[in-house]
Amino acid sequence: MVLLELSELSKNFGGLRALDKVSARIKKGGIVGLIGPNGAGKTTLFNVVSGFYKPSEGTVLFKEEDITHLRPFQISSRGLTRTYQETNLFHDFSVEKNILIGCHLRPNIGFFEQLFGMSSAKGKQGITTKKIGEILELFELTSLKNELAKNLSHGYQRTLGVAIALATEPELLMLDEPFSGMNVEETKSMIAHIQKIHQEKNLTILLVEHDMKAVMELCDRIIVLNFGKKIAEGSPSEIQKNRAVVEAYLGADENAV
Amino acid sequence: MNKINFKLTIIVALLIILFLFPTTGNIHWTRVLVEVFIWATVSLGFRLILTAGQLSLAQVSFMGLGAYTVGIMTTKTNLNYWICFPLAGVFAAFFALIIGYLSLRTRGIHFAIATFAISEVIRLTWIEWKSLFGGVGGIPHIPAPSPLFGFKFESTASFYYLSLFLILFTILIMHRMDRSKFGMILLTLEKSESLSQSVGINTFEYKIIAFIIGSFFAGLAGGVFAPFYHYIGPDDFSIHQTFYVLIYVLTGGVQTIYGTIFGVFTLIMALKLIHHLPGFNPVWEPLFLGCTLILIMKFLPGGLISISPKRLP
Amino acid sequence: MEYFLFFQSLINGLIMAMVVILVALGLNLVFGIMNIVNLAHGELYMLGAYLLWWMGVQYNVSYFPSFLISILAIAFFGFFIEKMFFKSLRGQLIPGLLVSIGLILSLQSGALLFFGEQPRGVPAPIIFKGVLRAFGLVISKERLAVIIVTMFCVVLMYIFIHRSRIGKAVQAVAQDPDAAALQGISIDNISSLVMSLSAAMAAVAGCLMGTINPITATVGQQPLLDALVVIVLGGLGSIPGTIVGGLIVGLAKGFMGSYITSTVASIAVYLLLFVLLILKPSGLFGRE
Repeated sequence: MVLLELSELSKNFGGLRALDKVSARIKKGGIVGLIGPNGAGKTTLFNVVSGFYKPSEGTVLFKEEDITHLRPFQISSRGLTRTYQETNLFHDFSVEKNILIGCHLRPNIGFFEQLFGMSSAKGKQGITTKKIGEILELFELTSLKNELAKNLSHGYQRTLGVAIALATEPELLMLDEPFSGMNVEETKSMIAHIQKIHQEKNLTILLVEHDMKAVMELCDRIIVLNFGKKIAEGSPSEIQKNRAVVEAYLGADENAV
Repeated sequence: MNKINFKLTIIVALLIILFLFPTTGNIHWTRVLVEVFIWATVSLGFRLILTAGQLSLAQVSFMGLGAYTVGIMTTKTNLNYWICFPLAGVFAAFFALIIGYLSLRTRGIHFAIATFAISEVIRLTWIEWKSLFGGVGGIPHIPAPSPLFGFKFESTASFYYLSLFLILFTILIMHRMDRSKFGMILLTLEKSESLSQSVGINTFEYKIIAFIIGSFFAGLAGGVFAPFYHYIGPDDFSIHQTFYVLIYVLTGGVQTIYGTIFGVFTLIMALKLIHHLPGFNPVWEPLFLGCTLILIMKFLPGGLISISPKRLP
Repeated sequence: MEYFLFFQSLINGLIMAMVVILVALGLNLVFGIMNIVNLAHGELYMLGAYLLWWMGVQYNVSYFPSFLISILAIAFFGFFIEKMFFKSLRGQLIPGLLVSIGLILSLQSGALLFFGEQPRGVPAPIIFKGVLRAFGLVISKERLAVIIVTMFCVVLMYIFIHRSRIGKAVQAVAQDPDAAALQGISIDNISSLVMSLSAAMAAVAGCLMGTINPITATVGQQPLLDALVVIVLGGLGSIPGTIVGGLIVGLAKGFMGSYITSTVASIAVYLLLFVLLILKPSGLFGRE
């Protein structure tokens, strides 16, 4: 089934056309890569789909519901969660607390429920504690659970970002450059984590990334953007042979400082 | 274990002292403590909103709305004070809902200045709408609260216990909030709002709830202020008073409830002492507080409580 | 009769516009370039006026030298405040705002203590005494001076920002401080310069009005508020925007003053500020 459908999605920033009529369909169950040279519009696409930007034209359908004009928290509650290119964490909280906040949606503990210490709240808190433990183990963060997020190494911070997103129990997880700033070991580790959660949690994943090796290894489908337009879509081997894609990257390299 | 016992002992001792204080018969300092309790309530409300990352420069205006509610209702209608008193909080909360709904779409500086603008609109309305609010003259002759469960409100001690219960109630609620998930989420709103949104938190809702609750307590405090001073006027609730509240909170320390209360207590005491200095000029008050704020911001931004080694995380 | 009232309102409005333009231009510089919310800017206006009066009354200095001394002294005071308080808070909006609140309280109280409660006035110099008559209308030379001096300052500012080398450096810092620093521009020096300039303009406004309106410790509050409205209305960093915004606000106040009480006028201005802040996403800083 088609989980996410983008139709003619466009975004203008003043005179700059950051996204130009991008259409795509993400089917349930796959890992899709979104690649393109710098400035191609990948993060803009994420921001539009997740509700942080309003598109200038076009629509976004998630599970056949029009989410184009919903706010980010509403989109997250429907099962679409994204992570961030720049490390975005609850810096002054511990790793455990970070994931706890990520569990906000599921299970949902009401305001008054919590304030008055009702027993239903306590039950849900038990579920939450168990869930946090599982997530910590999944990402090998258990030993770090009391560390403040701001004190973690870069690699662990990126991992925590994904862990928090996972805590929302999404159906579609959008990862924005999860490997950025990671060394070879950390990247390997993250690839393993992503594959694991993909299988165990039955997640659909949309992944923006520059690390081509990682992309080719993880993704079963790849969408390529350049200058805000979709220029190619296909399996990893198809993309590798695609002229337009090669030119886009070569062209970008030529112009790069 | 020892630490908790120590803390508990201090709290119990403090409570005993506070409950027994009026028996000393010292009217002057009893009145000062009433003042401290009232402003501590307003300050804790301000602190809650600040915890959510918003600087509400209209806090004392909400206090004024509560005060005027009680003032007008007890002088112009036959309503019992004990109905008007909670209404003071309710009306303040109601206006906070409207103002918050409109302005909490902005953040930081914009929100601060927007609340500043609204505070002046409110104050000037009190001045201009003479028939309801009494204009510059305000509302005089506010009666003492009617007897409650047989207890008559004849002395300063009655106001003392009323304001003491108010501040204790406020501390209780604020403490529960701090410790709850609600309090935890409030802390994320300033620096990590986008991430909060990503995990499904309706950040606007949290901001507005914090704003309403903080303003509610300001309104309640105003509801005690009115009969205590018997007279209220627009200048009692000017932006300068909000500045003072801000200074109390920041000087004591915004991170903890106790820090804030410490700040209120210390500074109000300091102001009383300054009153007694020879050649006292009322202008020394804002001068002292202004300089205090500048010094705190420059040298001790965490407030006085940050000197203490046992700061809560 | 109607014509006369209209003209008087127009002149009053123009004067208010001029004052607010001067204050707003200075504030615009500080907000836009140093990202400092210095609400005590109105106090610089107030101190400028008081200094003008003080020089005359205490030291018997005549008007124009006093004017000059006031501008220089306040410019230096602005430099001092920036170095002492705002430099370390650069980029942190709320802490800067808080410090400026402390400054408002301290400076207003200090002024009350030092200069007394009595409203003060500065006698206009001979050259400004008297009126001009044309087309059956009357305008005092003082008021005319306000208009001329303000226009002169605006033109100076424009030339400075857009045509001088230093002005270009200021623009660079406004757009991208890091890039500017990389090019060897000293952010510290530019900040000091900007702050001194803006303080000087506030002082000019204060001095100009010193002969027209009574000087009190709180006289700077209203110009500050109006300036905030103008900046939000006209857009941050835009000199033309400030001028247009200033004209709108000033003229509106001038005309409203004839028909409604000043309290209602103030309520209207504050409500306008509130609404603008809510509606305009770029608000005070051009970025959200």
